[in-house]
Amino acid sequence: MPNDDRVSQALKAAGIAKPARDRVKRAMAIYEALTDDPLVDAVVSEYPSGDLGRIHESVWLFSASHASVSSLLDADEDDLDFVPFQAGIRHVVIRTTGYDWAKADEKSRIRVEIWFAHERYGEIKASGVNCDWLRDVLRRTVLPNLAVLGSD
Amino acid sequence: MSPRSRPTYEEYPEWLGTALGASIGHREQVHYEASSQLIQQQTLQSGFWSSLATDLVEANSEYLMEKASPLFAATQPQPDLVRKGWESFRLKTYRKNVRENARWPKAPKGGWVTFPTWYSQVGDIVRTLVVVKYLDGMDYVAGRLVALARQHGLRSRVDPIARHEGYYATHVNVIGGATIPGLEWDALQVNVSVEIQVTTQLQENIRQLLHFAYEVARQEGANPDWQWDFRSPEFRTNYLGHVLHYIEGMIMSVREQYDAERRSG
Repeated sequence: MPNDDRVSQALKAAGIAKPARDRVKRAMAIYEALTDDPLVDAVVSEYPSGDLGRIHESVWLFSASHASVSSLLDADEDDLDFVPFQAGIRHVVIRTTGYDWAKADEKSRIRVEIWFAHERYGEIKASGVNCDWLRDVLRRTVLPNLAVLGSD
Repeated sequence: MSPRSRPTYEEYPEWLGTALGASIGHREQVHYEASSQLIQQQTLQSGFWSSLATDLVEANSEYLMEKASPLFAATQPQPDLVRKGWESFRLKTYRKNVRENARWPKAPKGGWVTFPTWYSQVGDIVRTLVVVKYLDGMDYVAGRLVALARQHGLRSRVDPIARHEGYYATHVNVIGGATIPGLEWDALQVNVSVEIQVTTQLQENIRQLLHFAYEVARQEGANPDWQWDFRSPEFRTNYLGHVLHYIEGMIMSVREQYDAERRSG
């Protein structure tokens, strides 16, 4: 599936609107400026917060060889991390509430902790229908990159 | 390390884990980066912050009418809201928990500064600076800020700061609610403060010149014998701060004398 389709689907699942959408586009532009590695997947980390609505805190962009996380919270600064998959994802912790892993509803929540080599840490949160999208990202992109246990 | 000896900054993460069952690694950094950005955003969007620039302009006009001197050294622009970076925040928790903890090895006043209560315990996650022309302007601005906070239903606290290293300022902390990422699900409501540092033009000049020396001292700990070590950078810089404060006091004395003569004449 072309990059843009995956990203568009990720944005739709997260219910993202301007200006966060513009920040995602900027993150993609920076990604493409820095690497020729094609994007294979994407997910927006978000959570509900009452009066503030859904807070879209970061976008994860995945290629075959690394993950890139870009904060969506600061309109004036670019804030990206690149983490290689070469050493693999060491540990994934998944917590859910109100989710049956088949079809999400508005009460569904997933929280994923991803631990990379050298104790680097990332977190992805999803609510509502975004849970179904995150489930699919976990299956096709995150979990296949779990490292085989070995010496460090 | 014996239970009573204070850990170094390098030993701090291990000590936190062993002594308090707390951690201060990348996971806490990720949470802090997201939370501090949200706190900054919400502060910028608050009614208090939106009113601040206008209120400072009014304060300047009223002070000018009263004292026949401007309150600010130059036209006071919209204050800039600065967010504390992770490394500076991490160091601050170390100073509060360990190096500057007067109750060591017990918890400091207010309790151990650990995740997640640290968002309410560290008062300058977001801060701004207001620079006044004369020494009496510091109290004047502090009073205005307290009144403005009250107008917006917010608590505040005023701390006059006089450090032995020659730093003089008034810190006004305005406390309000903020929404940050929850520990498990959704969001968490916390009380956070925006720290407004009010200082004089002369002190601000010194601060900019000596910023590097202050940062080194904060990280490595002050030289305990600086008052006698006239070759040390601390001797020069710290006494310069004290001398300037004295000069500012003398300037105020002269100004008040002229004010009195002006009014009687």
